[in-house]
Amino acid sequence: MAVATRHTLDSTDDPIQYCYDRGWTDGLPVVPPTEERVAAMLAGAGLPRDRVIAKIPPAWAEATVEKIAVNCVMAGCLPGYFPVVLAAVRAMTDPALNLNGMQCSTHLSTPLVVVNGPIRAALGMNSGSNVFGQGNRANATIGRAVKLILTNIGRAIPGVTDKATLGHPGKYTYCIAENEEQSPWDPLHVERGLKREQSAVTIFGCEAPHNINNQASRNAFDLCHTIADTMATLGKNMFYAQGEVMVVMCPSHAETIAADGWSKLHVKEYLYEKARKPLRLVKLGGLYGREVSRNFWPRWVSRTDEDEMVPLVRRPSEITLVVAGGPGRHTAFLPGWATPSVTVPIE
Amino acid sequence: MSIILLDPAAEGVPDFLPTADRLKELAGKRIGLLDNIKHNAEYLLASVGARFEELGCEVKAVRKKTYTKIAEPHILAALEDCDAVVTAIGD
Repeated sequence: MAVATRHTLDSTDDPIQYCYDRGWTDGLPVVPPTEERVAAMLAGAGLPRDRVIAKIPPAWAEATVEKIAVNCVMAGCLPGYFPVVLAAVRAMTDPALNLNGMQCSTHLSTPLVVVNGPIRAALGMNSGSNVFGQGNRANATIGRAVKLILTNIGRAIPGVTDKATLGHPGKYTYCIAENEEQSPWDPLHVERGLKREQSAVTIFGCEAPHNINNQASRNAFDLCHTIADTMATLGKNMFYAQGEVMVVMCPSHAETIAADGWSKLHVKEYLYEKARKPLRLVKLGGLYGREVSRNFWPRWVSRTDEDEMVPLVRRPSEITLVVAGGPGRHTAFLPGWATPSVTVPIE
Repeated sequence: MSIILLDPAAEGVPDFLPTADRLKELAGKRIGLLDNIKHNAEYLLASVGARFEELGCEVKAVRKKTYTKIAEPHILAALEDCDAVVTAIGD
């Protein structure tokens, strides 16, 4: 369908209620997508309305430039946010992410949007205090637009095609910006080969953030041990299916660790080595329980030694480290679904 | 004054795929069993397969590599000559 269907409402119709009645919302009211608003969203994009950016599973329906813009309007985006959402659509439909599986899984993971580069400041995005929380229009509506696209175009309908047992609040909106200015290390997109001045979006399918409170430690070992211990808890997909995890570290923790001479890679190597659980405990849960040979572990992991320490991920590079948040000494751990994050430049 | 809204939802794809026609009789039919490798799927499908064999069916079992992804083309190709396919298992 090249161009979106136009719905003509009676003069007595409430357009917000009309969107509810058509099943177009996430449960919150949406901004009615009128011709004028959609045209304004598209004005600076310079793209034909019927260009297909991706097909969104599980419906595998075409996400055209126009359809994406319609959902951006409904989410409350300003036109300047549109390129970020376009990039997010490109990233989350990378086959490596297995969006089809994630959209339909009983697991609660959902795509998180991480924004890097100069566009963060240009859009006034929040990378500081309460970064996962409410209060910033760009963070909130970019994340919400992505979720509306997943349900409206992808048709991941809760309880029907989206079979999440529980879901999580990030299914309304889930978008942060990295606090590059207060990070002692290269930001995520630079780690992945892009220039610092290139804006980028990373998509990672993950659970909700889990807080790691450490206000006492003043050295890298103690701090990283706390993080590793929080990561290594039973019930994570990773202990069975492996995959990727993300640590969103507050600037204060990052500063303490970097002051001890640790690079990002040092942190990842430490967490990879220490965030493990013994086989005798891992076999209590997961998909296969005591049939441990069916898990997707590296070959070097013993399937018979009860004391074998099973790694959370296959290699240090599968621990993604992002610096974000404001003052305070709290870091967050975001368990993944089982697939890697994907970074794309914002065009 | 009327208001025009642009449709934000999927278009050009069916709401739901139609249900396949049901077999009128089972004797002599070839039944595919698609194991998605979830826990207990193989046991359930083994029981289902045994029952089909009792009813005079030929059973053909195949197994996906991973439960989260759509079956690979060679798996689907292996099921093309089946009269019906049973897949398992949801959580």
